[in-house]
Amino acid sequence: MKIISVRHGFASDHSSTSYEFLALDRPLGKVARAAVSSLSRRANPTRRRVSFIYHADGYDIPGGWLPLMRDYYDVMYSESYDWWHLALAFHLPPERQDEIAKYDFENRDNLGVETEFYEDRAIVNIYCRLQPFGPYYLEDDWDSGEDEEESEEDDTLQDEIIAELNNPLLQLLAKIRKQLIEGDYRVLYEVWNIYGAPEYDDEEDEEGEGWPKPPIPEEKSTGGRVIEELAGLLDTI
Amino acid sequence: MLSNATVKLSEGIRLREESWGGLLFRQDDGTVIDVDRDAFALLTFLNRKRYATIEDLWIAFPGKGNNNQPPVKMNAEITAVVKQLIDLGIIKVCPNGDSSGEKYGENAVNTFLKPENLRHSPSVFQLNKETYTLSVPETVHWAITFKCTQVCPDCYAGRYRKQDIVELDTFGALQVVEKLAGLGVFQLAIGGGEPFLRPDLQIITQAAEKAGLAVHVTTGLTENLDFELLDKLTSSIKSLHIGVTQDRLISWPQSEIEMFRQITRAAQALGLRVGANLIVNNSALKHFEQIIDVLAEAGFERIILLRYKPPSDIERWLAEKPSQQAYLDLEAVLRKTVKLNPHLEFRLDCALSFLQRNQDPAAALAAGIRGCVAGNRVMAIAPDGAAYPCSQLMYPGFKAGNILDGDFTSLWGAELMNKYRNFREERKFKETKCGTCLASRQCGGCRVFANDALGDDPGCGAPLFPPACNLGREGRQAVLHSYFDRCFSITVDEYMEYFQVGRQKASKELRNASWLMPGNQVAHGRKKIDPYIKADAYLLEEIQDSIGFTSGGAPFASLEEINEWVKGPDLLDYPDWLLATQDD
Repeated sequence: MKIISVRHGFASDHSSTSYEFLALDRPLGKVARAAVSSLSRRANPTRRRVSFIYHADGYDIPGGWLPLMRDYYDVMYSESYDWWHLALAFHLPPERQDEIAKYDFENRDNLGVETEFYEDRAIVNIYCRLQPFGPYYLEDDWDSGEDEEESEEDDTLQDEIIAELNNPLLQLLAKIRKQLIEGDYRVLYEVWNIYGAPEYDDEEDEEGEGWPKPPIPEEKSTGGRVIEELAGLLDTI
Repeated sequence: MLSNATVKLSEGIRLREESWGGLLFRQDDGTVIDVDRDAFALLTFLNRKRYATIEDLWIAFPGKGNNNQPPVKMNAEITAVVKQLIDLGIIKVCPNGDSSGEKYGENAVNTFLKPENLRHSPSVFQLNKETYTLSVPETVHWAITFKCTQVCPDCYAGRYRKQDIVELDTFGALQVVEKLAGLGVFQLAIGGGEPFLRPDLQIITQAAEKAGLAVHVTTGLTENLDFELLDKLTSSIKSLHIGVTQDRLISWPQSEIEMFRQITRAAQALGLRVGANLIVNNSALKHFEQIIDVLAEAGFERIILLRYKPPSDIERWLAEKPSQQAYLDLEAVLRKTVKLNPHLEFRLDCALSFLQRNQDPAAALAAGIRGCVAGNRVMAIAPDGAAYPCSQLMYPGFKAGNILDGDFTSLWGAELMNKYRNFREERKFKETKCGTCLASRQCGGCRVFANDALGDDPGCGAPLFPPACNLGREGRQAVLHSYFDRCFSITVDEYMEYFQVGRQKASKELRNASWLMPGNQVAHGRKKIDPYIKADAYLLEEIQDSIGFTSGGAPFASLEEINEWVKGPDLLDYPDWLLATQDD
């Protein structure tokens, strides 16, 4: 039983706003799901995931996406008028927060990285454009083990969850999150390379001072494919 | 708790059953919702019973079982669908005490629908096939007259005036209204020519409204709009659309703002929604943001962007027809404009669907974005009652019949209607760029520009081809045409590498491409390479030979240059079928 399509008579049909959330660390219990469900009658959360889609201008998640990421979910992506927002939330002790915040920047098209902290929880936001249909070309092969290190026992369960996601973009974000938790910020530096670096020199010329350039992360022999996948996905204007 | 809530259908909802499920139409705002068979059965049930609790619905729809297995309960699905329908205003929760009518209680016997009577709903994949068609159009575009006192250079209706068409009189027009309403059509969009020139316009709109049709009127009479008539029309129409003239908006913005303000204020005071129809030609694109500012200041609530269709004046077409690049640029400008004008509602006509090709296909389907819907969701009627798949195709060769003659089934089932309705399923279409594009379901290109309804739409400069290695034979053929837009020849090795196919398949497909032929063999070291070139390329080589070469062997003219010279006058995609009507 389902609704196939809704064509609003007098509403904008140029695009829609959609969200996809995933909980990796802790599945949502009954109370948490009820809280998410109460945000919108459109939401039908499972223990791990919830989606929202709004087809009309001006409609959005009541209260926004932030409380959901702060309190319940670990990974999110959202698309609106071809502008994408990727978000990754995880535990990050205060002593490591300054280090990751060094990768924050915003270019002239409002694309970039922004990190927010709520006590010991960090939310890393990547504002970007993705290649047309890019997410649908991503390979769904979490188990390929191309260059992954052996997982800790605690990670195994998460790997299983991710492998069963059937959503390559969520899988990729989950992999990125894992790298960030491990202190590997190469992905954020790659986002800088694509959106920040090309404007960096210009900014310096015009204003006399540019954004602080993020530190070059340490090279690693593993995880390169995750960075390549994201870099291949990012589009410029 | 929603499960205890009593729900009923909201007022002003029309239900129409289709083979795959059904349509719901909100008469107050024009929203059209497609639901599958089970959801439609639930709504029909609710309509009959007048009201029910969610628990009643659980009892009435206990689920389906396979092979004598107990039915799988549908409670969660029912609750989720009811929630969505409440959100969409189709169902409403009865306030406490509002329970007049028959109660459908826990012990009631479900005589209406038994599990075995519930038919299996088709999957989304199945819906994409030929079966996802309508028994009757959802909206009819009616050019009620071709007469007009205006001389707008880009108006396509000018083409139709050359035909000797006798307009229906009032009686005939009312018969059209009665027929459409009786068939279950939801919306009637009246245009022209200039509909305000019909003295019986009010009679027609009132009859249509009374018969349950949602009526919309489009006018171009901005300077001499009959406000008295507008006042009288208000009670019977849902919206007024005004065809704006780009040249005047650009040249005299202030006077246009003042003139349109009068209209929008008058219409809005009467409770009408007012939209501007803007034809997107080169002039409009050049001043796009300025024009949008003018229209916003003039008080329009909605702007409908119409693709520039071929006017009768070919010279005008050549000057004003946007290039593929211009459309690509519009995509970026449009995104920005939409963001900057949150109070404005932007709509694209179906011929501009390629601007939405980047949408996720599932999201596009969910939002009802279907690209060309000629002969399926829409049908067009000429002033004499003749029926066509699309309002742009009102020529004798596209006539499917007359709405007033015979039964509707034979008109709607006419070969011509089927051709446009099902063009996406045709092999010939699948071999085109539009047919190979990943967005063909939500776009498909405008068939007005396509040869024989199944060709390419030349307007889109960036079709979304799947990765070359994932293409089938038809897809490879389509992409190969694009390849030759950029390259002069292709070898078997290049074909193998580009499409990731084996040598045997590459050789066979190149040999079988009737528009290609083997070129001159080229020696590359020890290896000899057999390039394939376009069949007409030899002609270019012969011309090149006759022009001659420098002493160093370089040609005086490149093949690309010669190609430009011999192509002849470029009519910039002026459709062949329309050109033929010009010759007539």
